[in-house]
Amino acid sequence: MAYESVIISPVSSEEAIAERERNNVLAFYVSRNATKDKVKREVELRFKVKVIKVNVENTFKGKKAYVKLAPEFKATELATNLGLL
Amino acid sequence: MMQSLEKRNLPVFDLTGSEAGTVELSLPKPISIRDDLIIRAWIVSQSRAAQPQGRSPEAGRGVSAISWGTGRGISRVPRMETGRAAFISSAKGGHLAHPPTVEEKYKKSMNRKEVALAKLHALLSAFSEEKVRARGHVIPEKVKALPIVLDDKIEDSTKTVEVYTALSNLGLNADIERAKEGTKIKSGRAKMRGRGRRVPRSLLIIVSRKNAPILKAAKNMPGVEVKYYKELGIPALAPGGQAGRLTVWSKKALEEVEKEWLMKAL
Repeated sequence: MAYESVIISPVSSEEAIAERERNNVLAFYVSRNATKDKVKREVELRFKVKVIKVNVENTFKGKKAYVKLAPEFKATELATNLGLL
Repeated sequence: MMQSLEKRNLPVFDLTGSEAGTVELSLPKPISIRDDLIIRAWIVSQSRAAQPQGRSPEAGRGVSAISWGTGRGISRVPRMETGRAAFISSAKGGHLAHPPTVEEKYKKSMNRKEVALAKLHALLSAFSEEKVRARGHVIPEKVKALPIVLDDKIEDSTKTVEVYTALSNLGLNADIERAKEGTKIKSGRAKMRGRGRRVPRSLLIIVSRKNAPILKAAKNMPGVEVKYYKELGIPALAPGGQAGRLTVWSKKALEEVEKEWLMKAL
């Protein structure tokens, strides 16, 4: 479909915050039919960053995506700018 | 949900199309627009319009037909005395195998908080240039930032031509023309049943009063809808489930919506 949202909401768990601070990784809940590639493109387009890799996990609450950013972009900084904190 | 705030300074246009003051708009800025919720809310709103349909339980069963049994070299379907097969779904004039029933549930439902979020995101889509263009609307060059805000005097227009000239002074007639040219005659029986044309949706004008004269004055232009701000919903903001309608606001209506809707969402 032409109109379909990929990112649903940020994940605000202890694990997600730890990942953000230690490994420069942002965590999002994404649509069930989103793929790693779709998530990568969406994050790069929306937040003007470079993504190194995406890991996804299917949980009961939905699909979680862990997005690792390139070292020149800081996940913590981006999260503050977006108002995730 | 946690989200940041965006502030926009919007020009207020008067009826001649020149700028007359500004208005500041604060918008919540979610991390992404939830199109999945919007389309679900639209399906729910459409389902509320469905009317129950059914057949008479006697339809196709009003004959005295019984199988003639074996031994005649013909199939064992129920037959009338004349020899013609009747009653069953494979016979002419027989009942339908699985007719629509009035017991069927047509209304779909959605959680109230989800509907509220879908409405908010549909509204935010109307303020996003990318989304409005994606719906196919024509945004005039004179408009630098969305939404388009007009002076409150527009609400008191009693004549269609007054509204049309005020809109075309901004170049918004392009979108109305798009709807006019895109009008298609539907195929099939629809013409006979009084719903013969499909008109693309163009502008949505939002006013601050329930009895404003513009509600009647502007509604006959192709694809244009006029709404009192409290009656805004998914069908007006996201026709077909696709959000990003081109909206024109009276200054007061925008201020009211900001106060009652956008600020409460934070």
